[in-house]
Amino acid sequence: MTHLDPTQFVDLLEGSAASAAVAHLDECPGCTAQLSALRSAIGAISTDDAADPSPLFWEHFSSGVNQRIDAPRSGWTDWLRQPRLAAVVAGAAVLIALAFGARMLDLPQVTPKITTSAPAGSRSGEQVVASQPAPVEEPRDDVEADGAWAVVRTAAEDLAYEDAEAEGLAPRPGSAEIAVLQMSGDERAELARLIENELKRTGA
Amino acid sequence: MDDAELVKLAQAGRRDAFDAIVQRHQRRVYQLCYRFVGNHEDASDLAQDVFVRAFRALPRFKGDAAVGTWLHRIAVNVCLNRKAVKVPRFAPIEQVEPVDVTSERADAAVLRGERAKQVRAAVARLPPKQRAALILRTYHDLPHDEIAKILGSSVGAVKANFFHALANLKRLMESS
Repeated sequence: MTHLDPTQFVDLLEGSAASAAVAHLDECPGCTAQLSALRSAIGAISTDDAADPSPLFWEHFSSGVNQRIDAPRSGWTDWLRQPRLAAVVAGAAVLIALAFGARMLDLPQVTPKITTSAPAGSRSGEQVVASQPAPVEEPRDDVEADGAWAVVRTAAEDLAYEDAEAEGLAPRPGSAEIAVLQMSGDERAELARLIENELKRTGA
Repeated sequence: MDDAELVKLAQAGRRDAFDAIVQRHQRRVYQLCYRFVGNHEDASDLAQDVFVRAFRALPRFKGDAAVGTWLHRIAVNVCLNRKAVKVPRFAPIEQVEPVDVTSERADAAVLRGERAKQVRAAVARLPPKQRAALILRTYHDLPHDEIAKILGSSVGAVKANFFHALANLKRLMESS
């Protein structure tokens, strides 16, 4: 026996089914049960009355629409202001910065090999390798001028501590102490210098 | 003045004509959004968003469909594209005692509210097209051919979605 298809069931529910479909129900308990289940679902839905806000709501609805229309269109960077996305971006930026910093600290001192012409008396064709100090990039104390930091700052400026904590970005108790204990002497000295500079800058 | 005339005026830059369109359709659009999200705050926000999008799409509206159908289409898209829909927990409908609405007391009204909440939660868990077909057919009483225009599908597909929506709704309410 071929059972009723979804379209026939819907037509039966709405009283527009063909007579063959109606006749099928008399000889098919499965389809009869299915139709009954569909009817009970409609019955459950009908218990949910239409929502209708107060008249005051409608008085302000149209003006709210107009305010939104007249508001400046959002820019592409607005997504950064959503707390969760900002938290993710800030977290990613911090991780990248930390990974980059850690890599820089672990790198051995690179000594470029510069080839010079052989001095008098040396064998013909023999070359001497002279070492020169690696070019050192001056540390950037001016964080306000740092473009990368500006991205992190922009992303995080609307970030509440609770949101950061919810995203797992907030430090655990004792994290700062552990981080400092794991620093080398030079790193601690640099950290102290940065803190002093920041205290001077802010007048704290 | 009918919707088509208001649209022409709005397209010519008459904001008051657009306001008239908003006022004429705001209730239906709001209720549609409410059916999708189940709370006033989000429904209000989405309904306003629908009209903002409609205003921006006005220059491209050719009048092929009725304004109501066009707004419903925008509303369905806005609601389905909304990312975070809070899905409240719900209990099986069998656990909820039937309510005599003819002699409804305060406790019965509360019970009825709870039951409605459960239905809304189950509706919110339906796949998007099934949810849209169910809401437009059951709550908005739209004919299948108009729902097909709104959803951009065939009448057969709308009926199939409606059927599966009802079957899934029943199953969801029984299984939890």
